[in-house]
Amino acid sequence: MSDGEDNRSLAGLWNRARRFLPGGAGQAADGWEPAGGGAIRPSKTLRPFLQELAAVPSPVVVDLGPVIGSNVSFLGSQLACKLFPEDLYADVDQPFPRGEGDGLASVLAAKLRQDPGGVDGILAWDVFDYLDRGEAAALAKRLVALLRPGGLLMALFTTERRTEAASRRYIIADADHLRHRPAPGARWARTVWPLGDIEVLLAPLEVRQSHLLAHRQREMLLRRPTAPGKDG
Amino acid sequence: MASETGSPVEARHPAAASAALIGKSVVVKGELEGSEDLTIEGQVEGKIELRDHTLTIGQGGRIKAQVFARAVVVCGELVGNINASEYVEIRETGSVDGDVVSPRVAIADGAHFRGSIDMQKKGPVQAKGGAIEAVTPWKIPPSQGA
Repeated sequence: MSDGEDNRSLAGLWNRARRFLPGGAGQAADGWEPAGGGAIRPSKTLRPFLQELAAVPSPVVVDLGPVIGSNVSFLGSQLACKLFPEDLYADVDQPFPRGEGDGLASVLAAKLRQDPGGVDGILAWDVFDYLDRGEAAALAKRLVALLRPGGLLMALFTTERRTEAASRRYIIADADHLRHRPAPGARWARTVWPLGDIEVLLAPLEVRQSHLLAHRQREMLLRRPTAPGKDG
Repeated sequence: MASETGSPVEARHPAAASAALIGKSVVVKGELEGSEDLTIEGQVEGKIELRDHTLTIGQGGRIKAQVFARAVVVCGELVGNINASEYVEIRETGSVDGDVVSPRVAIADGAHFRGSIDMQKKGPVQAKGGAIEAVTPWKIPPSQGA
């Protein structure tokens, strides 16, 4: 685990310092914005996620983001996988009952119908940020059940409480960068998940990598343990 | 005076110059097989099999069928599974509800897709454990249709 890795580097210090420069707040501080909209930001866990799955013949991958053509093409070219795009963001934006996670649980039962233990990798992006604790627990339980032993989950978590004008969608720029594209959504307020809470939420998954990035986001790569005793 | 573009159909639909066309008013129910490229602007229900050729579903096309082809380009609506040996392209006006099996799949921004995408390559599996390259998005071959 390499928590805080970015912030210890000179680049991390420079990125943090730039936030205090005129016009340096927000996106310009730690990413660049291409013409298509959305800043390009570094990713630390996508490459290891891909590298591990590349060793699996024809892996099964669940993508909780919307269908994004370039992501589909990229994952196909890199992994030759079977991909299930399951846009949970669209459901998160619906006004289902809040509080107990029941509304989301019924959505999950209808949407995430892959065989339990049959999924090699899950791209959860930052969907947990838009859920309350009950909803997040329901989602985590379902995702953990889907993963095969040794399967991987990649997730992003904001590290600061904020309400943005839009939620985000993630477009793979390359194995080391993601484009954070703003997207209209009903839920703009974001939950902050401390590292310890994330570990509890996603237990029994083991944290393989955790990176605190300069753009105030934690990237995590978690793995379902293979040892029977640790497999919950 | 003879037209340089050939038949009136070819003049209106450039793709039709080299592909069969099912027009807007045509409704087909049953199995459809062919050994040439096909463009559908009408409605088809059942099964479409163009094993070595390209199926183009035009913007007006409404298909409820299982599709088997070398390549499939969707600009209209398709409900059903696609099995394409080379590629599937869903254009921005396209809508697919079904599972796709093809080594290469391109989905344009704005297109609708619901289902799974199986991009398992036939033949030798790609190198294992090697470096993951920077993205060079797969380029869609120039399309003659739609």
